[in-house]
Amino acid sequence: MNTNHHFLLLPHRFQTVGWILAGVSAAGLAGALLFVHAPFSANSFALIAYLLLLVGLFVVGFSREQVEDEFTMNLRSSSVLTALLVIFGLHLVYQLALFILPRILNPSQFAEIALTASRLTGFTAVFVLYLVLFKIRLARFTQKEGTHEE
Amino acid sequence: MKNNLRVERAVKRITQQDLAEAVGVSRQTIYAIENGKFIPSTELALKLSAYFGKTVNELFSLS
Repeated sequence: MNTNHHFLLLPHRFQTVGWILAGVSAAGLAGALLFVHAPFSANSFALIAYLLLLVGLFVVGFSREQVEDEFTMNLRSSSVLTALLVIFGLHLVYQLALFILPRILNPSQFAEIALTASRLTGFTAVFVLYLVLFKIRLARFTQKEGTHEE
Repeated sequence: MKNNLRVERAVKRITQQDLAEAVGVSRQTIYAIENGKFIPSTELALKLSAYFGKTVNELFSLS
């Protein structure tokens, strides 16, 4: 099969590296948030763990599957598109909320919600949603195949 | 798009895995094609037709 369409992806073995990095940094992040009593922006350990978690997920998301072919590439493309549409929809709601919420909430509540919402509608959210959708769709086909094998 | 992949595979008595390895794709891909969830590229359709010794039109048809 022509492999030109997935030249941007890392070799499959990087998936293991990515999952390990993501797992360790997720545990570190949870620990930092539970045991270090400081706001996230002032918690350097949590910030580093968060960045490493993103790097780990990035490596997983952009590593080849064991057999990377036109079908997996099709799943990747449709997952990216779905993620973009969902997050863009959320972004529109967020923009609308920017006009409405200041009239309802006090400034500190509004700032907190605005910060969380901006994180949920940013590039990171698109990437994480892409990864989740892609892995779920791929797993769905793997499971079904086993039950329908002739 | 309809296809006779499952029938042709049964005639040859091969599994999805066998067919996938023969044409260089994953088992998921064969499953997805057989169930109408994925339409293969021209290149893959030609590989499948060559493998089964059938024309592309004999394997795939418009529904």
